[in-house]
Amino acid sequence: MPFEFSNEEQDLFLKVKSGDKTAYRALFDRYYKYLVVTANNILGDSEMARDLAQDVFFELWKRRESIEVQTSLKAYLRRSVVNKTLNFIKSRRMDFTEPERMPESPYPTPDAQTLLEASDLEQVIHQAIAALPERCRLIFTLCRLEGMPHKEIAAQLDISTKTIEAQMTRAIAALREAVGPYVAPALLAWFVSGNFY
Amino acid sequence: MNEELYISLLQKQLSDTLSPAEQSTLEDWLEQSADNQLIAKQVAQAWQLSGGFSQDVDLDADADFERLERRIAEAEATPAAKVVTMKPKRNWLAIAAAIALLVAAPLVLRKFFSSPEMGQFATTDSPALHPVELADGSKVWLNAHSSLQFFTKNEGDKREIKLTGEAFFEVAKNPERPFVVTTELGQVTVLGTSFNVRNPAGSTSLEVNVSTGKVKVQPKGSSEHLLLLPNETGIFDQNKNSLVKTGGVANNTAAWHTEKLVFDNTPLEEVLHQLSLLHGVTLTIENQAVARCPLTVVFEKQGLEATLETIQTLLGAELVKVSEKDYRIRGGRCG
Repeated sequence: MPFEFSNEEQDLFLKVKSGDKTAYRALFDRYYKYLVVTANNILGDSEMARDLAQDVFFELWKRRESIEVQTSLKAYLRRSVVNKTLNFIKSRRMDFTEPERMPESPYPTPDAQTLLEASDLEQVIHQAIAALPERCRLIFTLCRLEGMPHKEIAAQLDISTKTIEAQMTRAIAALREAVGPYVAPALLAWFVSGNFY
Repeated sequence: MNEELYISLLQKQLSDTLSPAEQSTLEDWLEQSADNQLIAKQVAQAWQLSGGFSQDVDLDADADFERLERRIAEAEATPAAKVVTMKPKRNWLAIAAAIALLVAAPLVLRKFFSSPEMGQFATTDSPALHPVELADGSKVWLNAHSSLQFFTKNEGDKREIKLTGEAFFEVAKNPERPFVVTTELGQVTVLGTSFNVRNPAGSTSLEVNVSTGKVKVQPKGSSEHLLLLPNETGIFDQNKNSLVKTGGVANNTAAWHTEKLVFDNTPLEEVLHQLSLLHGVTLTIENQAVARCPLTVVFEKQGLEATLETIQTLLGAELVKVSEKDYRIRGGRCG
């Protein structure tokens, strides 16, 4: 079966289609925050992310009678908010080729304490992503989180795939630098040997 | 040092877009040193952990929902626009023919019933507040007293639209599937661009103004056509059977949509005429001495009152508001 619709989700959506505001509110409670988080992960601007997520819900209501959802409603909404985000980025006519300043060596060398908290490594990466320069971060999150092919991003934003590759390389280089101290052989050896003195 | 190149290759490898040639370049580099292998390890680690990236946001869902409800209430209170989805046309003759062919030609039958559903959108006294978004991502802003029939599925070798009245189009690029706007008097074909089409019901002229890209205009039943470039306007006059191109000069044809009016040494009376059309109001010049005063000014996304106040200042005149729909310019002098 090609449908991933959960029954509950499908029921709610069918009710919305017939004009049921309570069901609409239930879908809002279910997915609004999810959409804001999705847009904010790309944009790093939570106010704008809220506007875009509301636009998606506004159109869901306005076009409820004609919307046909092929996969899951959740996937449809996510795709909608990503498209809105892309349109918004495009409308700002950013110059993706212009050099941006990378954060200045923002990643402190970890001390023994932080090394012991190994789960922090994920934290470190997430902070590093959040600290990427705007355009670099946009491209990175679209590629990595939305899994969009470079070609598609290029077409949507009217930029070249070369520019996207360059921004991706910059992003990965910055993230590598962030994890560097945690994935270094010297430190690993020290850590594994239990040589604490 | 060409570390960046290899980081780029490592990234491609992680996202499964590495070509065989790149693959061997990367393998050679990895064999060169333990340092290189460490870089690869760090990149892989960073890549893997970045997939779970998510930032929490603080939000007040109740307040946001209220905002959304107000917006919906406003949109629904606007009587200007009405969306109707039309059922596919199935006239009895076609069905009868299909039934007749039922046994002999199932393929033909399918053809009859799979005619794409057309969407329909119409406005009455004021322009639509929001664009109609088409299945291919194109957008159409419909002016007052206009109607539109459009495709709702992204398939077929053409993107076909029917228009009565006036609309501004922003067409998603797709050279393989031309976007064709048919009006009473002719056809406008594009591949991806933005432009304004005006052919009011019952009118004998079709007017097309191009904002970006390249547009082809072809009157109905004619082999003659025009190619228009940005800022050019093509006008077909049915009475004179003439097809002419004007332009090179920015004009205010699409102002109803763009909310941008450009005036370059334009007489006040002409400026007020355009404003009155755009906002549906009556604007009267009391002092005929200022009627020919030339104005050079750009108004962008300004409300009517702000615009009139600017004019009042430019002329040193007084603005009198008789009612919501009736303003008078009193006194003043040129420059």
